[in-house]
Amino acid sequence: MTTTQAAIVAMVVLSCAGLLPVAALVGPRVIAVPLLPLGGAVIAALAATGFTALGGNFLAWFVTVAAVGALAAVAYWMQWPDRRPWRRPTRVGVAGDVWCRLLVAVGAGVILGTCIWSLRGLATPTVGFDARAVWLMRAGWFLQSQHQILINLRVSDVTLIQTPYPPLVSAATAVAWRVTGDQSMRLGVVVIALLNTCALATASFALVESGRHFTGRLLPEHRRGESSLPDRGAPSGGRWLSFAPLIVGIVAASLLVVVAFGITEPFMTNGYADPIWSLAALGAVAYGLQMGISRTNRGAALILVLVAGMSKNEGVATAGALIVLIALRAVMSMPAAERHRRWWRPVVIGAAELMAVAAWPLLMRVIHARGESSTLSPAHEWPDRARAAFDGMAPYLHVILLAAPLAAVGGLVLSRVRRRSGLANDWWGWAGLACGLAVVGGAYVTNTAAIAVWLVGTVDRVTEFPALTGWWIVAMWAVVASGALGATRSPEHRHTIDPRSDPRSDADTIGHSSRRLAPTPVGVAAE
Amino acid sequence: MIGDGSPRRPSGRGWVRRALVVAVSLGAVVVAVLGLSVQAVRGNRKVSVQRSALTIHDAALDDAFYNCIDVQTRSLIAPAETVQLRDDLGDLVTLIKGVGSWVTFADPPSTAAVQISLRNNVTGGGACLGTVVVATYAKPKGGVRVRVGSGSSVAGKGPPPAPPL
Repeated sequence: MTTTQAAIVAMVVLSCAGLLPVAALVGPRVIAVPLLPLGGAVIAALAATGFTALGGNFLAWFVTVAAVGALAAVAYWMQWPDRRPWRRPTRVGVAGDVWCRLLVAVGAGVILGTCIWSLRGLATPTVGFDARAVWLMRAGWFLQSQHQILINLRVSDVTLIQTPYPPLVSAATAVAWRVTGDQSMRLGVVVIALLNTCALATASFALVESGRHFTGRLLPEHRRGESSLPDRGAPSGGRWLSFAPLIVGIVAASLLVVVAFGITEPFMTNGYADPIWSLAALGAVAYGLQMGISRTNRGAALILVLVAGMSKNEGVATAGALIVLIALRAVMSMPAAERHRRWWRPVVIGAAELMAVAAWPLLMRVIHARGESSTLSPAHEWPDRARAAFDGMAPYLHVILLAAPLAAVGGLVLSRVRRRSGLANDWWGWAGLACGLAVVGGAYVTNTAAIAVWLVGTVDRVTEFPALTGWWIVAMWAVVASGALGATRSPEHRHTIDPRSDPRSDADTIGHSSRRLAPTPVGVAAE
Repeated sequence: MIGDGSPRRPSGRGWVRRALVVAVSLGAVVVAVLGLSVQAVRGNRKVSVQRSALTIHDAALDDAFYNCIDVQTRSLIAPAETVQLRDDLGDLVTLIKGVGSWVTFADPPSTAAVQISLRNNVTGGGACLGTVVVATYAKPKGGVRVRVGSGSSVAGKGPPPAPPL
């Protein structure tokens, strides 16, 4: 079996494992496709945790956890039949629907093509230092016995303190090695690169979906009593302005793919774990903190935040902060009456996510794995270390110099347009970015490692998430601003849904919030 | 706009505000897309570096070196034999990178059946960029206590090119 064939088999196996849980969480959306193998990778990470904690056989754990996920999805559909993915939601027809669907398909194709083009670096058989020393090396440990892996995590021979890091990358590689029989570093690198690309494609597609959502809000609805079939004719001249957010969303998404590859290479294609947690965290910001509140957006954010939190220590801390922010936003976006009764739901879901993310780090502490104790540097050293960290990180975060003024001007002049778009307040995205900076900056300041050497070896990787989020904020403002002209020309719909008044609003097959005929005040602000 | 969607003639102040919104939004779109485009051009260049001749050469050499270490170690021990890796830090990391995914580490290390180490600056054939794997057996195998790995070699002098960290 060639490496290409083995990689395809591995991705199919991971996708099959994630199929039913992802379908239950996300529904029949375009982003379900790249989320399938990521869901399978989360299952592999959970399996690795269970295997290390309780023993048995890693592949048996993988199959078992996948089966449990599938059963949970089936039980979910039996409990809520209206949420089965093959049931088409009823929705009000929107003029220009066919054109919207066509453009969304074009957007998906453009993102796919851009990802394939940007993956040309994968043709070079590079295996990174950390990939050989930690991420891919550890994949072989999951194919040994539980007794042996516990030894490997503690024995003094293996001096690298990074070996107890979270297991997602190693576990996904272990699945690939076991199902294909090809236990090569090259296969591991290819599988990880494909998972990275899936996370990036998901995050980028959020721009297309945001543009689609905004366009849908600008296009005229059919009045009651008219045919409910969507308008199949070409939109008239003025209505083409309404498509600007969707078109700009496609352009911005494709540019963001190339930008992201530039930020993450060479680590995107040499087996490192930094890109996958950074890109997954970016996706969690996009779907959990920026796009409209909907059950399937929360489902996508859940998968992505678990991927981030199970990949690397920086991902654990960042994912923890994002989980809290996403839960907070969910509570704050509830109507007052519902918040009083159901505030606990997002909190319970967030707590469950935190438990899943914390499982592996806690296990490493319980078994006294190497490197799991840490000491803090003296407080009097913190100002100097902070200064050094700032100087080291600043060259990689120039995007903030563009994003901040853009956000400030947008917030002052385009706030009504942003509310009309249905997207969340910009502050949530900045909160996500700030969390990423705080995690990394806090580690640099408080740790005892020699900071100059530490920065040289790590700063380009640990700043990936904040840099990517900064560019995503820039791209999102492009989508929002592009809708201003259409927003000033077209009236607010009488029946435009207010997310706070209908928390059960859901996304249809292309991510557009379905509209329900409910009496809603015109021009009610979103968040 | 009033609630039923029919437009009314905007006031003078409304015209000014609308013009400001349109002007700012156009500027924001241009600035954002321009910024993304410039960064995308730089990003594309960085991806192209991965396909440069030097990067391809270094990757192939690095791969060949660690494959050589792996083959030589497999010629000395079976996967189930317990091992202790004994060396200075640099060579220890090299061994972990080469064979750490499949060897059986002994616990405690003193109970290992075999000690594995690297010998550098080896001239002549049979070496991986001048490095060979050496096994020291706790109990002699075939009357031999120390053996040198075989089965693969990479011509040249080490170490392999340092990858980006």
